[in-house]
Amino acid sequence: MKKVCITIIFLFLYLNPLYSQLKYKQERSFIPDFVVSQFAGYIGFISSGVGYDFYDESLKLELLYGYVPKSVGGIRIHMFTGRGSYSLLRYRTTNELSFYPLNLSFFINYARGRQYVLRWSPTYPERYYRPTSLYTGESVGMSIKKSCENATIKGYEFYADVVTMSEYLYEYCKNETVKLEYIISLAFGVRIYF
Amino acid sequence: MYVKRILSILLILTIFLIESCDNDIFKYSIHEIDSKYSGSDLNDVNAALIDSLYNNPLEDFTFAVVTDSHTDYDKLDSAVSIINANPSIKFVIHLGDMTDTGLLLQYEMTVRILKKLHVPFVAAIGNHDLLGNGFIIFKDIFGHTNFSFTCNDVFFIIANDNNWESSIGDILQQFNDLLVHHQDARYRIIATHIPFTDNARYFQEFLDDYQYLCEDYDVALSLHGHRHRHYYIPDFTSKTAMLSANAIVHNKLYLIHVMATGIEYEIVGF
Repeated sequence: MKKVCITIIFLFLYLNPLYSQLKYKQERSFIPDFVVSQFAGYIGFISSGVGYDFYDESLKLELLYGYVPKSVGGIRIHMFTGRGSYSLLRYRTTNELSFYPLNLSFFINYARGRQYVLRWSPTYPERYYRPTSLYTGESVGMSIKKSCENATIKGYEFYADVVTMSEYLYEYCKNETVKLEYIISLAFGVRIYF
Repeated sequence: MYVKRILSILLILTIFLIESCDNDIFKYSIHEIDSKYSGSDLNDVNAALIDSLYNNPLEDFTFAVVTDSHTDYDKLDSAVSIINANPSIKFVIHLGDMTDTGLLLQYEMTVRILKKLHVPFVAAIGNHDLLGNGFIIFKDIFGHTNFSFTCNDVFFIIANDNNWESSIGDILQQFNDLLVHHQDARYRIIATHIPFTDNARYFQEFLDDYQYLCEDYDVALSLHGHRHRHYYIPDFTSKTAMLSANAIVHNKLYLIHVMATGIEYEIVGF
């Protein structure tokens, strides 16, 4: 019961301001705050999408489409990614520059294709396999943003992340034979704010 | 000035990270299939190697069986160390489920460890290995899923019998076509991932046909994994024993001793 109460209080404290933020976005007809494009990092050779800022740019929610060409991944892969990123630190410098040295992200990745299964057919006993089209991942990174006042483009942000997949992280944690470099990927990206 | 310093540090860190990794530091999807072991044809190459290395029909020998290692790579690594310490072992069969979800990293980790073996190894494909792009990756690294070889005049058939996850065709006819040409062999052994006694996957009629085939062609041993527990049916047919091996995830590997007097198994815990 105690846990339930704590969870409800936490959700209220957390979701109430988020609701206010969403209401503000709704007033703006949900026009995204920025577009984002990324190279590598398990969500595509190239991935692009849109995103929203919350809490004075501390929290970002993004939706991206990623593509891996056959020449790169051995097979063509189309995927969609929902990602939430939180900036733990922010340093403002002169010239409207902001430096975010520690960004943490969590993402859910959905791969589209006949071989990737979201719901298994009744042929299989319940929970025989996990869904193979959905995987989660996480990243840690940093970014630097240049704000441009009084312009159509309100700012640019360049970021670099070290990314892994939850499945691989689990395997890394339980096996000494799995080296960190086997499971991580670098990713570089840019966000353009409007 | 401040920004320049940050960017310089970032650049140095990135270059250091890229240089310090011998693996690809840029990965594009968990579903990628482009393997560093691509085109190795491990099954075909190693089966041919066993064929050529061991052709004394009078010599007894031992081979090791590992199965269902999934993502317990450290346990598979321990099994490999035990096998390497035993000079009597001629080769190793992995009976499948070397991955959890058929992912490239899972395949590469397993192959990286199996390549430490001092003897040839071959692998059957497991049901988990077929998930996602697993079938393509298996074919790319191991080559054929259905193949045969001979070791000291003992004829082995390795086959894909994962009928839910893949099309296995008329597998009994395939067995028949191979066995009919190897009736002079000392023993005949069939190895697949799933035991044909799995009544959720195979009808009784199919099991009956398989047993008739084993009896007709004097198959000495029907060897399987999948269930993660040991069971042995010495009188699977009047001429055939059936062994379903316990899993690497349960710290078990098997030594199969092929002798003039018969075939015996030994369980090695680690």
